[in-house]
Amino acid sequence: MNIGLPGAGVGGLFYLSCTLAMPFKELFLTLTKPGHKFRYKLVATQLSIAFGIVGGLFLVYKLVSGLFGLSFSPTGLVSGEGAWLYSLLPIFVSFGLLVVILSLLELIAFFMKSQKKPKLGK
Amino acid sequence: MVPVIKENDSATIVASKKCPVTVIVPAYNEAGCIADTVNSLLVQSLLPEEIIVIDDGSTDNTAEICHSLGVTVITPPENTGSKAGAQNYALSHISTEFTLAIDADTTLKEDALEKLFEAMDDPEVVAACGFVIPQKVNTLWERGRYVEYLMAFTFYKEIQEYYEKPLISSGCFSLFRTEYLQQNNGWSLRTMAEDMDLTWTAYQLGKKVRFIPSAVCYPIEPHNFHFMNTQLKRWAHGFIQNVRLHWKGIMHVPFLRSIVMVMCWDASIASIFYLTAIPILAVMVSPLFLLGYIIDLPMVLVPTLVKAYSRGETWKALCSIPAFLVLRVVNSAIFLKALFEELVLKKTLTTYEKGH
Repeated sequence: MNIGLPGAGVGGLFYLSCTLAMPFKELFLTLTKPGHKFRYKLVATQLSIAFGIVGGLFLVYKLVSGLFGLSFSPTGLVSGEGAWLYSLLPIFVSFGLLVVILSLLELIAFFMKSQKKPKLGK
Repeated sequence: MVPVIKENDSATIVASKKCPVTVIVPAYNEAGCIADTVNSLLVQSLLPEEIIVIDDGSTDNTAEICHSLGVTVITPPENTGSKAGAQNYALSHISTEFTLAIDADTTLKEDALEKLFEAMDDPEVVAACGFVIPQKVNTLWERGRYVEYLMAFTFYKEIQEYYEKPLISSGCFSLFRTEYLQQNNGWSLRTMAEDMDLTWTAYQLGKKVRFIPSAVCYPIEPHNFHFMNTQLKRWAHGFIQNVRLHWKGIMHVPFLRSIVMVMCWDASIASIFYLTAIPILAVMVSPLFLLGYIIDLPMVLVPTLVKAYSRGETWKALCSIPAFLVLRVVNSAIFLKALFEELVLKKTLTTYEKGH
């Protein structure tokens, strides 16, 4: 069940970030949780997909730059030498947006923590 | 360890083990596919104790087919009006520790139940779901859904499972602890996405839900726009209804709240941008802005092809990518319409319409 816009948007970045955090979480669990075994296969598979996506996005940007001599930027289309650098801007902007959204969410969750837990479905 | 009963005399039985599971299959005019579903249950490597088909007022020969296959058929006094209603009707007939809910148009891989059953070793787990792959991949809509599932179940759902919060235990194929279902009075009718409701309720109760990727099921997905529209409309309304119902509760559930938040953002704000800003910029500034519709393709392609390659379906997946792009646009538009109806017009969807 996927709602709305699977693939694009901050959701994609969110899952990418979660994947990149997996080895660190796994390491933490291995060191702190007795009996926990580092799940190499799972982490490696997901990391490969994540790096594949990042590499693919970079290739697409390069392809677009190469074909049209243009890059997308938040302010429109730019051209010329070094224009591909602008192509990284949307990623930084999206990532910044994701950080803002999640930070606000955590802030609200923090304030709601002090409140009584609501009855289910109320 | 969950008990498994060994059969000594297995000459006529395909599998050698039985588990304390009752399978419930809600069915309304499913004569075309119910036999495949029941047969796939009968050849499982781990057999359920009982298979119950709820014939929810069918006008075709669904019940006769099920009788001929030797499974239990129960019939509510009148059509219950929804899948959840039919499942709830069956709940009082279940005496086993576990309940497997499966759609009438969904077949299983031979070891799907066995794989799913393993998740129940942990007493905190109340529900478990598997990997979903469309049974038929022919039309534009089926192809779009095929890519969507390969991508989501290979990447998104695996990560959700890693962080112990699968967003949803899919309605088409999920194993539950019967006690949990009974405590919650079964599948709630208060939203159009009862499976999401049940999953989020479990998290708020401190229980676990698992996603087991090796447990594979094959549902029949909507083959035309009419059925796809019906299904997506129900999903979109169901999601919004669940967010409205549970938002205070899920704020106390880390990671789940993050998944729901980014999903809300992408489905609403990003959809508006996707459906309005890109075409406007393409007309006003440059047609090259239309590249925005495909610029994130690696996000879809990589996980899809990883899974497709392992299944020997690389070419099929590649050919289906354009269909996914179409489905994504339709999905966004339907979600925005649902959002408008639910929040602005206060027109809540309450009627369940069969859409596969």
